[in-house]
Amino acid sequence: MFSSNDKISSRQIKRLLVFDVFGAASLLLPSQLAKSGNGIGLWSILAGTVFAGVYLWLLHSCCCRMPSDYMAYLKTGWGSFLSRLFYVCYAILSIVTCAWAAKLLAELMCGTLLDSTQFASALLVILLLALYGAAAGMEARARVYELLFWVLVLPLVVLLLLCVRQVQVIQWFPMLGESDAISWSWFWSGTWQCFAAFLPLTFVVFLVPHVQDLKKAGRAAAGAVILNGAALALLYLILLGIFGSGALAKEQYPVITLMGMVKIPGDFIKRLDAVMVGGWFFTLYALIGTTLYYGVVIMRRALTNREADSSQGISKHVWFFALAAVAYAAGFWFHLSPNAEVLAMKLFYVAGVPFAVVVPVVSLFICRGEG
Amino acid sequence: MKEKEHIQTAKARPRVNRQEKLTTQEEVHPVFAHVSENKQFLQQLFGGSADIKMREMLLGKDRVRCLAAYIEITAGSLAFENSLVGRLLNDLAYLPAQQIYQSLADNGQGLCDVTPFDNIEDAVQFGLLTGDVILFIDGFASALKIPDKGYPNMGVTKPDSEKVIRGSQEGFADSVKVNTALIRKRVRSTKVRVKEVRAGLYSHTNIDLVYMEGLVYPSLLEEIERRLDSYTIDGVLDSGTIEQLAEDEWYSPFPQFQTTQRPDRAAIAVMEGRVVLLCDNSPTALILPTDFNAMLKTSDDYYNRFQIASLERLIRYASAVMALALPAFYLAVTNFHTQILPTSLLLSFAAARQGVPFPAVVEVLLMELSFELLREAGVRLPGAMGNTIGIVGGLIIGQAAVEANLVSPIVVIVVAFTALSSFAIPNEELATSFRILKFYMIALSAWLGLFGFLASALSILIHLAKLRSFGIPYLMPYVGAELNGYEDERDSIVRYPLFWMRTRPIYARRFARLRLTFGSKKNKGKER
Repeated sequence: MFSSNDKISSRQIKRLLVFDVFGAASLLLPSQLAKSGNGIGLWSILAGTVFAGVYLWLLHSCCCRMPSDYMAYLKTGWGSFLSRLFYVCYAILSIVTCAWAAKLLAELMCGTLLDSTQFASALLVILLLALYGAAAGMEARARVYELLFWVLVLPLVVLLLLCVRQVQVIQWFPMLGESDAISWSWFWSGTWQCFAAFLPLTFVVFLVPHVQDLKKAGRAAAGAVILNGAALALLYLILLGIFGSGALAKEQYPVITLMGMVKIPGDFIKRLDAVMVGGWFFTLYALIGTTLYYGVVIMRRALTNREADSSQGISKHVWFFALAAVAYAAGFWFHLSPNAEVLAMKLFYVAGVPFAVVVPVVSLFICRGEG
Repeated sequence: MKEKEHIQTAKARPRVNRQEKLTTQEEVHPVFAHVSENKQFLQQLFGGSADIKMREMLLGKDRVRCLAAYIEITAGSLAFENSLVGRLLNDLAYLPAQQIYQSLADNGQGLCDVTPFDNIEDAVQFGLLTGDVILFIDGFASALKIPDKGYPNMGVTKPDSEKVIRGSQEGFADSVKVNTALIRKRVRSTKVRVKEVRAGLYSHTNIDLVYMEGLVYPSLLEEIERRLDSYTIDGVLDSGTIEQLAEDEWYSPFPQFQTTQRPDRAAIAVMEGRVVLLCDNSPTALILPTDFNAMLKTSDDYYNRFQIASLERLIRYASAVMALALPAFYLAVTNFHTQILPTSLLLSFAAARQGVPFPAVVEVLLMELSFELLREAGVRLPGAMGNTIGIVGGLIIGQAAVEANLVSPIVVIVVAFTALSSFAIPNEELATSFRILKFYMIALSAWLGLFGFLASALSILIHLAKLRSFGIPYLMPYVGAELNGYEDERDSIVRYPLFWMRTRPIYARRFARLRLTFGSKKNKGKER
């Protein structure tokens, strides 16, 4: 009969990665980068994208050398204990990212579509949806985003085009800042943030069992990095040209504010932010779904040594429920205690991102691969 | 105390005896040499049923006794030349006994479909109970099945649903044999195969699997047969029973088998490498595997020019979205996010709702439920009255409800538009699934506004994304189109010109997908 092999196509990989990265990055990066002043942020985006490309190339090299999966590959260089420990760290990184993204989406929904009293309900609905999506498996998630791609991208492109005439190019300058030490530190900080936004690329190494042609998959992932970099740069320039760096830095979600300012010819519909926030609902949901899915897959592999879709041992649905509950608790905690969120973000930048980079890079040297 | 005991006893007693097996007696008896013994056996077997008729006759020069057994109505006058039985009896009327036996053994009358059976059970099962006459003759050790009028059925009529402007107006009949012939009439190829299976322990329903050898995946056929064989049920009276017992995801509201009442739709499916399942006594054929896109196509999509076919498909897709989401979107916007409406529209909405005592969600639910009631009443009532109900309900009750300030005119418009949209979906089962899910979307939108709307839409999408029909992703060709080199996208929401649709969809075997080439047939023949 027809194949039912849990494999996904290169088009699906590309679209999934675009959504995984774009949602949170487009919401938060512009205001963060605007703090560096004027056009420096653009160079940070470009540099961050280049570094993400290099990172992807390293990950792809790891993938090409894997005997069966990432765990088996790590074991050849790090030994069983360390490999499992790394897997647990990956799982924690994944679940914390899931909780943070769910909290971000719930807050976005409460800020734009609901009122703040409904945070708990919004978070619950988001995580239940993520649970349903993640439990449906890799193929189902990939299909959802393969289908939604143009549905989400086309309106966004049209609205951005409608905004272009409001852009004041003068606001982009000076493009290189003041070229002093402070500007350089802003540049590197922005680059690091931008690179961190590409962190969902890390999960590419866990995608290997779902991929039929690694070469094609690598090209698709590279396409996703380039597309994201271009979209973020374009969005940043539009936002900077309309708001100016000062106002942009103060906005919490500048792209949503921008959508509220778009005037549709004919004026038959107003305040498009309420409608367009749907686009970010789907993109952020992609990140939540991805991180929850990988959180379960990785944790299960680390603790039970079982394949992701194996039905042996504790049912995978129990794992999904358990880790979704953990994500709910963490998300709620981040919401109640902003200090906890700040601490988590700091840990993410100083420990999470370096961990995600160092392990595969060192593995390239010490692990025995097939290639 | 007594009541408690009674409850306990009831609880202790299982509702279904799991040890009980659904089986029938498998003992067989050879046909007796004497007609009287056969008659006695049949009388015992049927317990003297009034509709089982047994007529004894004397045949030929030697006055050989014979017995014709049949179900009342299924046989005409046995003496008439124009019936097969009558002709047979007339032919044998003047022969000696030995020649009668010889003639019957050799089918000397050259009658088609006269089948001998060696045991009575088979003769009864495959002869008498299928509406044929069985003939026992003294000294002849076989029972002969002779077809006659057969069971009454409706014959070929226009299909109730899937109406088309261009194309054949024939619809499937109740008889599986007629339906098979209707497909074969359209695909006159020696590669068309019909595989017959039986389902239903007591109903012994004939099920025909029609497919094209060489196009269909053998593993698909095996899987279908495996699923048909995986359950035992007392009776199958319609293809819907088979559908429910054989589908992958029983809890899904979406149909995983495509249904059709049109032979041309079924013929298209056969030529696409799919399997058509025909069930006796059902004018509804099942087509498998299927996908969402296939259910929004009609057969005249391929008869009309591509522009009109594409426009119609776009309208159908839009109407499917409306049927599912319009009331929920209306609720989300009017209850939570009025800021997206222009002021003038907002004011007219507010003015329309003035004096209505219910919240918007109650209004919408009231109207939706009323509409479902009207639909149900319209279907159940006899033809002319059913139409009247639609007019009375839609116009008079709607108008009265607005005038009585029970609902606002906007809600009537929204619900009417939703209903209209659901009628534009060609597949009734798909339209029904949208009708059910509409209430789910209304509930979430009433609770969480646009966020609830988005959440419900996403959950439905995830569900659709994980659905399969015999391994084919339900959302083909919008997902997984890579599997067939993106060729299937040419027959999706937009139908490409026919000369660009050169390959069969993914259902057909990998190396048998070419369906259109250009150039003279003569040359093609030489090339081969």
